[in-house]
Amino acid sequence: MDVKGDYLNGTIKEQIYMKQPEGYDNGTGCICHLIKSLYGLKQAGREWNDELNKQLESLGWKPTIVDPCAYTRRTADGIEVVAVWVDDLLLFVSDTKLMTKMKLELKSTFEITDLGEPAKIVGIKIDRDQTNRTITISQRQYIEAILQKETLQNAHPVAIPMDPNLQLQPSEGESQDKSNGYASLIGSLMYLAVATRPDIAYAVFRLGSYTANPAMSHWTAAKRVLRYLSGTRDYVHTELKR
Amino acid sequence: MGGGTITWGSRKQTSVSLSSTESEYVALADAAREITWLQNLLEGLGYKQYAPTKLYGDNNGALAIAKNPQYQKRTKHFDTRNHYIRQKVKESVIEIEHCPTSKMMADIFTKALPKPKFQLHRTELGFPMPA
Repeated sequence: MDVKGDYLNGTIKEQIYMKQPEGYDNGTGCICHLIKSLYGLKQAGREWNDELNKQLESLGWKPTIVDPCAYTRRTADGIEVVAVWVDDLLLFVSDTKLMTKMKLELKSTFEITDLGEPAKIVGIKIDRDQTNRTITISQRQYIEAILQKETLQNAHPVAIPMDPNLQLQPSEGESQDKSNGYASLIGSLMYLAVATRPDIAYAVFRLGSYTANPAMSHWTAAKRVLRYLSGTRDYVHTELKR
Repeated sequence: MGGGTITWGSRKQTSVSLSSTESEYVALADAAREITWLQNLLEGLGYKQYAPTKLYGDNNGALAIAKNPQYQKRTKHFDTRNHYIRQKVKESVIEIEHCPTSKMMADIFTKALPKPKFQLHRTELGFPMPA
């Protein structure tokens, strides 16, 4: 589910004044005093989370101790879980009957778009196979975007992300590459490794220790990871099987 | 969990170790912290934990130190924080078991493996060959 105009829901505690926005100016030269939060305000994100937290708690949900973004509510009918990512809510129930009621309840509190079965969250594609009882997660699009950025879309694939005999040395002298495309590449790869591709984790984390001053050999090794990904972009990570 | 891989990590050890056993011991303690977190998360979601979680290691020395809280000269310098694992074993929250190196799937996170091993562990991690 997605909450519409998420940041507009927050109520601000500070005194904030602004000029009348373009198109809404009534010509009196009056200054607006903000009551509700707006996009672009420093406190918008926090105020929205406060508001959501307050509403969920008033409906009986409690944040779990280890993860304040996961809320749970226990009733006689079962357990309901809400996972929050800014304005995206993932709902889980132990009994499908609870779902309809829960959605109605949330809809009466916020203006909410029901997106049905979750297909994607934070760039990760989710596929549920009800017959085989599996959940898979994948980031094919993200992989392709990185390959495109490095113009390696048609790179010759390799079977493993890092050569077992590779010796990496710290580079000598001053850093040449001031823009540091290497760091941004490693950053992208790291997100992949953490989110859906544990198979490249070791290679990425090892290459990560040369981001300050990458040499040609480090670039070559990083591109090898890309070539590996290019050959395995269709691999999906099976998360759950019961 | 449920046959799937839930969490993973690979990072450089932050402290200097004097032996491979000590390194393995540090890694066990690190895994113990992750396990505790997962157990708390599951309990928070309403899944009470009745049995200890299994933790596999391939270094007999480290496993022995974790199971046996006796004082030993060779481990006198170990950082106290890493004895967290002992505590958890004693509380029966974690159960330690040996796993031969050849079957250690966590090796995919600690070294660049040759192709056959890499592919084997990758499948175990939850990447079946695409159809």
